[in-house]
Amino acid sequence: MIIDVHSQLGKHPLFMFEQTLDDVLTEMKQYGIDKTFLSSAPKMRFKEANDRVAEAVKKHPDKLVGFFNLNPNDPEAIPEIDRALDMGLKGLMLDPEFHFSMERALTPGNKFLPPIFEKAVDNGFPILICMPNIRVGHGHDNALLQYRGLDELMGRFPEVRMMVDLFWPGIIELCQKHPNLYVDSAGASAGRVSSLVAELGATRLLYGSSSPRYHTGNHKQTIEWSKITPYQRKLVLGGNAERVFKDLL
Amino acid sequence: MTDRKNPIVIDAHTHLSSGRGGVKLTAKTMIEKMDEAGVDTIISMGSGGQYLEQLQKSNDFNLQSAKDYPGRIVPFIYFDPRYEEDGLDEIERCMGMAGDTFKGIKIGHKFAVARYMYPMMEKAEEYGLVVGIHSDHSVRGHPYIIADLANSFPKVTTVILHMGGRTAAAAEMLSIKMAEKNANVWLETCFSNPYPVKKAVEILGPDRIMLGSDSSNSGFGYGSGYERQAYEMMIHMHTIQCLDLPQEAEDKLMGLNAAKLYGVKVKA
Repeated sequence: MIIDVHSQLGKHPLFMFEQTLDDVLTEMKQYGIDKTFLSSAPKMRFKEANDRVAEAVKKHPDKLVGFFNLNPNDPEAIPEIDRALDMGLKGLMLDPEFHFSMERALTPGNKFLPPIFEKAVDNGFPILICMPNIRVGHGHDNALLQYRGLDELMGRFPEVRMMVDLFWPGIIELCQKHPNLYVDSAGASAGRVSSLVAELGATRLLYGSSSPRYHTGNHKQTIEWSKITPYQRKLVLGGNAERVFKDLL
Repeated sequence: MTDRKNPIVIDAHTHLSSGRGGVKLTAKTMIEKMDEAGVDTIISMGSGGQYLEQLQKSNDFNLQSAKDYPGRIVPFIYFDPRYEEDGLDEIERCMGMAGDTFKGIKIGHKFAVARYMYPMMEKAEEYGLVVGIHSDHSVRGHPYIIADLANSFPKVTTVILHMGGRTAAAAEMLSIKMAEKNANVWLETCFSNPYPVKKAVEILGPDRIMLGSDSSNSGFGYGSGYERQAYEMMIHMHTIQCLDLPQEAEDKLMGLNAAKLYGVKVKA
């Protein structure tokens, strides 16, 4: 089974990216994707965005697994979790960079995140942290905060299955320390795919296109052409997600 | 993605090097890679150097490779603004040696803001050379900076290599805006992503965008992660092919635009 663990619906408020449900389904068919984990693009009005994802999942339950989006700073964030779960959404996509500011992301050690993680423990939902610009301009101090924040959060909530961008500072070390931490492949070159697999083994990397930021088919092709074994490729493209998220499928 | 045949495929961003890590390299490796990937011609940016003689040797190797494989390799002069006047003299030396063969000047990472970029642009204008500048999200390579330079030299065709390049969504999108505002700015696609390339075609039309892969003949670097060396070129071809553009537009991005810009003959 080929599983794309990261795709976003709708229009990004800051960048020119936009993806319709038809776009998602067409590319899934064209590139042989069996399941897609779909969230909205990050939004300040996240409830409406979650409604749209829930509607999409209801129409295509065999193809889509819905993730909800939250603004962790908003007092409505915690109540929205229950509403989203009731609507059939099964995971959370956080974009702490967007919801704090584009200059300085909300670090995982921030006070707003632990209550959300407590809900994740109680309800068993996974969390995808998407930081599309994590490689960019945050500086050494902020990179250290990201590293320490995620380290602390994973240490406090080891039950939560979590996916983060592969450019996260100290990602290899963090994955070695925290067995429930997985890496979203979005944006990886073939070199990055093969080096991550070499350093971490093949069981922690998950194919995520982060479409429309990256392209479902183009990124899948990158993994297919990367220097890893056919068995490792199978794990990255879907085997890992099938094993880790079998309750969502 | 369609299985189309383009009139010509030109990879407008590659690097030929005479050696790396003590290993002697040849252009033949690149030609084999091109043949497997289905690339007719490459624009070779050379590989620069960490001291002046190395830079000169690199430009010499680039020129010799173009002579060894006529029609397959179009060479650029590698300009490094750290060499100040010597860097400008190197442009003169290359143009004196083979002014009809060198088609452009390449500037690498972090140098878009360098003091010697202005006299370099004057040389480019004097000789009618294209200028290709590495871009990324940083203040020393941002599309804004490159476009500002291009704006001061409207007669110099200036290529934003990587079109802002993969690291930051904002930089890729802004490269399109910069090309929209400056008619002499072109975009090259390697390490950008299909979505921004598609947007570029929608906003600019298909005439100022070129395929590039950043491939080298060394097998090191980005190329080392692929199962086969040719895949390093092919994944960037796929970035354009997966867009399902109208045939005419795809043909332009895949090679016709670069052929026109660099005077590469397209077989009938």
